[in-house]
Amino acid sequence: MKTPFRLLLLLFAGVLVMGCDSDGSGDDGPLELASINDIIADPALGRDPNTGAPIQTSRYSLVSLRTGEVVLSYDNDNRADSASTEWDLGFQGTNIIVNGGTSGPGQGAALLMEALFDEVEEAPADGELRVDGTATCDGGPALAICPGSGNGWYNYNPANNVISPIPGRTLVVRTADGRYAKVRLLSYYQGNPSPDAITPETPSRYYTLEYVFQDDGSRDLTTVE
Amino acid sequence: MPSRLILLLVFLLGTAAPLYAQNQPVVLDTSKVIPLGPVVVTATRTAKALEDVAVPTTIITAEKMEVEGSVRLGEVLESVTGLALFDDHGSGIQVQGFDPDYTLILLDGEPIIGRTAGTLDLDRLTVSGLERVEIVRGPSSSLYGSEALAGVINLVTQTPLEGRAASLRTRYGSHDTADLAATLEAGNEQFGARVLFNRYSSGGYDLTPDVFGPTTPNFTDYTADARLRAALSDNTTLRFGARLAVQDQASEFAISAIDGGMIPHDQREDRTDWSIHPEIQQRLSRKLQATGSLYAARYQTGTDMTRRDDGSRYFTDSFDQRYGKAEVQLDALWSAKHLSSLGGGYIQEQLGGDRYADAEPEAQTAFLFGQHEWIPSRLLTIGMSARFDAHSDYAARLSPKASLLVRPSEKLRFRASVGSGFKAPAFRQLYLVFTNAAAGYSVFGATQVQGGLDRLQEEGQITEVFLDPSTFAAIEAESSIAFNAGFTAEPLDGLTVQANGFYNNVHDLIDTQPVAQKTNGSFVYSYFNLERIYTRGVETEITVQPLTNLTLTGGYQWLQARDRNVVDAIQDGSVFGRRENGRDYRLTLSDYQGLFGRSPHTGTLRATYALPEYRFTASARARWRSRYGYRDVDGNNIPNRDDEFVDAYGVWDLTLTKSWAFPIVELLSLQLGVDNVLNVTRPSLIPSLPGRTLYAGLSFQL
Repeated sequence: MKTPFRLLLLLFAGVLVMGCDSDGSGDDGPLELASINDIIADPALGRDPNTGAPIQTSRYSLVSLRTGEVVLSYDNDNRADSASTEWDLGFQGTNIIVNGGTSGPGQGAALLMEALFDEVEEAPADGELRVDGTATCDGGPALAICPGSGNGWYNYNPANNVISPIPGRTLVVRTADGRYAKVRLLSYYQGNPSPDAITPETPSRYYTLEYVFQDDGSRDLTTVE
Repeated sequence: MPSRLILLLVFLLGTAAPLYAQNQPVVLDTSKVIPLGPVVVTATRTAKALEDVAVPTTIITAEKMEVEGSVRLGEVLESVTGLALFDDHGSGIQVQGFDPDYTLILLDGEPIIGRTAGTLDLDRLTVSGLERVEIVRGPSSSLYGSEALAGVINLVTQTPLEGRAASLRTRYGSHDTADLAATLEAGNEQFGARVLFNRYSSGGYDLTPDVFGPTTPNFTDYTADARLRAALSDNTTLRFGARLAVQDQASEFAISAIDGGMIPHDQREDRTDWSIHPEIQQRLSRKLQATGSLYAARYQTGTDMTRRDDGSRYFTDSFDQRYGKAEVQLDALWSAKHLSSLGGGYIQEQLGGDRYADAEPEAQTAFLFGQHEWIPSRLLTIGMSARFDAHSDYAARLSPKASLLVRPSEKLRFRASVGSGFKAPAFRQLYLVFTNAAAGYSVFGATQVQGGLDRLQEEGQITEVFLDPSTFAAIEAESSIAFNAGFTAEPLDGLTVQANGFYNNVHDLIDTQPVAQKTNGSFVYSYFNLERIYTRGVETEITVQPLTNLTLTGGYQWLQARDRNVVDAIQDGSVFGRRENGRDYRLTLSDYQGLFGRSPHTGTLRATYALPEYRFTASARARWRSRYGYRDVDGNNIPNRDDEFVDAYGVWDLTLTKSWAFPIVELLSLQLGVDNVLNVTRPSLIPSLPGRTLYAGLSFQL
């Protein structure tokens, strides 16, 4: 319940910063950590008995990092809003897309860095960021965030069928409107349970993540935990 | 005992033993009261005194197995320093830190077939009828080819002796575990025959009563075995071995229903395996001997799971493996200083069963090996061997090995060897054609991926091909280079110290990788040479005899088994862990204990107190292992958090044996035993650790 308040504060701060942009001061300190809980990313309703394919809508839930809200949910079949720059990241199953390239009209791009969240103090140069449709993945479709176990943000454990975010992966995102953010994925399961508590019955395709959003257009992503 | 051993040796090897005796005049020195040490055959494929073998070799005699109350092979091996049992589709053995797939298990020198997920279940194998078990550590692919990468374990059966004998052994213990073994043997100088019948059964047990279904199932296992020998002439010896084993297993389990209830299911498994092994040995001249052998084996299993309330089938699976081998070996003693062996053969394998039904794959291997031993002086023995294996479905391999034995004195021996080992791609890695109907993904073996992918593409099931199978290089065997170096010293009478250091560098380990994506979103996988690991460690053992009746043995192994790709990534700073509080941290090399299932420290203790005049023996054994990783919780695929480890544990076993001699019944023995005296269990983590068990056994020898 704290989050919306924090976000409001963040927005307010953003407005203030924009308001007194003239001296370009960056001394407004480390960015505030925000989180989004249980982004419902097209939960499978079962399996097709013939093909084994999960029964799903294959639609993405689209999320704005600026507001921390789901802009368009997977269960809404009116997809008009997907052609907007209101969203920054899309989630469907284990797939994550950015609002750019072949996935959306925005300036979205991303880079999954092998670094601790706090170590990423500056977004990489634009040339290093990857865009859906032009990025290359070893043995996979061309997406900024490569799909598949061990290729991108998660590892799949065949022993217990659990999907775990790989620790020490920080996702740097250029948002649809060209701002920068960094994201840490916490869980793929409803309610962000302790990994110990995940059973085959735990509902999956529920993303919980924490992030910071740099609204001033700079690459500065300094945080303190 | 010594004269018996020599006799055995003569029978076992025809003329090899006399040749050997000429070769080593020392052993005929009657002024030495020291008995002729045990003879082993596995390390060099020729008979050789254990103390003169240049590679690390351990021997476990029938006498020892009896005193320790062992009935199955697993119990024998788990008390050997440096070996650890590992549960994965059966009870497998870890040698020098390798998974069970990498140790070759032989019965009288011929491979026992039938592995599930790489594990040859040691509980399949009775120790009845064995004369000894030989364990060779380090690669022996230069003589045996595939699978002899971590080591070789050879079960050597007793040769039928002269005269007539019969024995009956019975044993009953906790969990309705019963073992019955009967043997009959008869022979004269020329012929001998020995038959064995063994029945082993258990009622199973349940360590987790709150979970439906037993921890281990109830089963009944039968083994029938026959061994024959015939001296057809002074120069020709024929030997024949045959074995049939059958097992039935019953278990139950439950799957959760949509409404949250549990639906009970029954599970039945059956297994039949047999082997026959005729062998002829012909002395060609005083210096030359030829051995020809044929070996055929078959291994079949079936699994059937049915829903209890309506009997409907939930899952069924079958597997059928056939193996045939023809082989010749020529041994030549050129002089007292040079001994050579040359051999070659052909192996035919065939697979059937549900997962291979489409392909019914067949494979052929042709091989050639040579060995030369040069003994320039009593101080030095230099051995060299190499084997070439050409297989129909993976790249040909050459496996060389060199070894050195230095004897500065009778009380001190140094051993060093360097060799290469390999393990052929497993059947599934070559031939699997499998689609998981529930999850939608497909897996193809290396020989099937082109055809399988073409078929899926024709059916319109593929959205994207990531890797084009036509560009794939032929899959290669997993291979290693290994170094072993150590010593055996007897600084005082009654004190023996042994140590061996090892380093195994393994490359081309096979793993899966996606090659295409299907329209249902799942992937198509195939197998590739991707991974690299290394294992290194030190095995040490000290034996002391503080009293004439008491022998104490202590053993310790330090082991490190690591994935080289993980080590590189940790050094790059790109491997992290996630703490219980959800925070991430960067791993250092000291946070990485290594591969799952490996304990860095293991130890054994053994005390044997024998009073021969009272025919009484007491034996106590302990084995301990430090903690080992068993799962990944924080998504980095390696064990690093405390909750990813099985805690260290130690197990004590005790056995008391008392025998009596009578006029007709030559020997009657009563044995009482307690396994796992301290009642250590890890219910859901180690299903093969049933807690304290008691047993009593009675045996007769006529």
